[in-house]
Amino acid sequence: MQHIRTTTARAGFTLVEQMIVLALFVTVFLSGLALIESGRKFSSTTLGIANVEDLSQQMLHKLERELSNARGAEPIAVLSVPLAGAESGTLLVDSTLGFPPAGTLLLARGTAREERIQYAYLDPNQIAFSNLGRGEQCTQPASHDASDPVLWSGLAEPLDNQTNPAANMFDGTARDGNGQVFFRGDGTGFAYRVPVVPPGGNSMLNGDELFWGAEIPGTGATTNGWATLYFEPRETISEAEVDQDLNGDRDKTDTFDVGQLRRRQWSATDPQNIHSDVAMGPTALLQERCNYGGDLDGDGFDDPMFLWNPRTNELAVRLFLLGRSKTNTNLVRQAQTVMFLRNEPEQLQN
Amino acid sequence: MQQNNSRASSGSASANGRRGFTLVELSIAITILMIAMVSIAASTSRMHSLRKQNHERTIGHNGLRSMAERIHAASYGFSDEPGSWATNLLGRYSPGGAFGDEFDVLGLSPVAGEPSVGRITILTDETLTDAALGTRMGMPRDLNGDSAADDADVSLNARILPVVLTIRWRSRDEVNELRHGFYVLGY
Repeated sequence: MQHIRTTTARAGFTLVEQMIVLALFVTVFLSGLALIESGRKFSSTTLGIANVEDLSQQMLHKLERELSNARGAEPIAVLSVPLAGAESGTLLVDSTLGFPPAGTLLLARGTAREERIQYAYLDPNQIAFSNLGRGEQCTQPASHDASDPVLWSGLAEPLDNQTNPAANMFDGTARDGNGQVFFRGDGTGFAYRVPVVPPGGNSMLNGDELFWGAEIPGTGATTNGWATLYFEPRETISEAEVDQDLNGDRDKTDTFDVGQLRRRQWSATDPQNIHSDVAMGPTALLQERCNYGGDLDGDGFDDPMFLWNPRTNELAVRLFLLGRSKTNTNLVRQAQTVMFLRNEPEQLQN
Repeated sequence: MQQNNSRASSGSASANGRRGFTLVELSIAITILMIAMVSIAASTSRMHSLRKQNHERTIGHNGLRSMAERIHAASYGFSDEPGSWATNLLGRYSPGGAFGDEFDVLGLSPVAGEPSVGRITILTDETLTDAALGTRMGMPRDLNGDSAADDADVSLNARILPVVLTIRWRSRDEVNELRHGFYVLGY
């Protein structure tokens, strides 16, 4: 009897019941694990996106502070003597005023002779660029005639003719308000000056005008001072390597430069010795290699980082930032805004 | 017998030690597990929703700020001719004007039945109140410099004009709205 009672007390599941329960438990447990893993990845991606978006907003705010009192400038010069295709020493122009101490020039835009030329030295007499690197950014060295325009490639500005410009007159078409705008240049930078108190002075006022210049760290304010914001490439990312379409153009064949927005300030009378160069943010900005200022969001319009209209004083800023989640997924986020620069543009002599 | 008793005793102890869960216990455990999983899924979904909402509001704020800057720039451009400043500005941002009274914000979808996300309203009635505008602008206010805030239409002689930008966008099943009011000056 005792044996029977014991058996009754120990009565458990049948094998079938145990199998069903086990199967159910395993299913629920695995689903739970999968859900937790999925949630973990999602949280990581969400945090990555939030970080990139925060970063882009911080950069916009920083730019707004930097440019709140600025007046823009158009660094455009004209070749004063012909430039041979093999010349790597000096390029002579009518004036280098407004051009940073080092940078990239754009010549013969929209033609078969289009060339980007890097320079590493700016003549204090303001008539020459030296230490040239020819055929940069997927262009070829070419000869250029006297009187050919020379643009600082960072500049992007709308054309006067917005109705039907010839193809060789513009470098891109950007979305602008409710319409489109034809522009020239790459749009990876912006040249400007700010009100300053001259050395020994105590006021920014110069009669009915203001003293304009730059506040150069380590040197102080100078009315010979200039400033630019510019894109400096630091790393490369290839869509094929990361197996992602980063610019939404439905292919995975593009290569991008990932770089920094930097601020360069210098004295036009001594650009090599009196200058500063500081980062305005992390290395996260995206530009398509060999197509700076090109379409980065697949909407069919180009996306210059800076597009300045000196006629309306509107500066459109478009930043495309590359972030990475903890799962190494690349995330591209854009931040754009328009700033109205309240001061009249700089009047350059050229 | 002894052998049997020993087996029984040993079996009993062993069986008691290995006694499994009942179906009720397992059901409760699985139910708790399911509730936990559903909670995780719900919180993940909510997090996604909040992130999206935050992203869209950021885009919305940037869109409003950009349009406000554009209007300031246009106002500044017209201020060379103070006599026609108000009519030029109103003409540009009125329905059918050079720009129109609507604008899109890249990344936001308009509410069903509405042609665009953003709307520009330039007010020419000095007697409107903040309550009627739905934003704090200190209205009613003198807009044409005659020291009284009693004109119902100052479109021909305004020196200062209130502008209200409104954006409305669809996000999942919700309609979101942001409004930004500011003044432009004809000086």
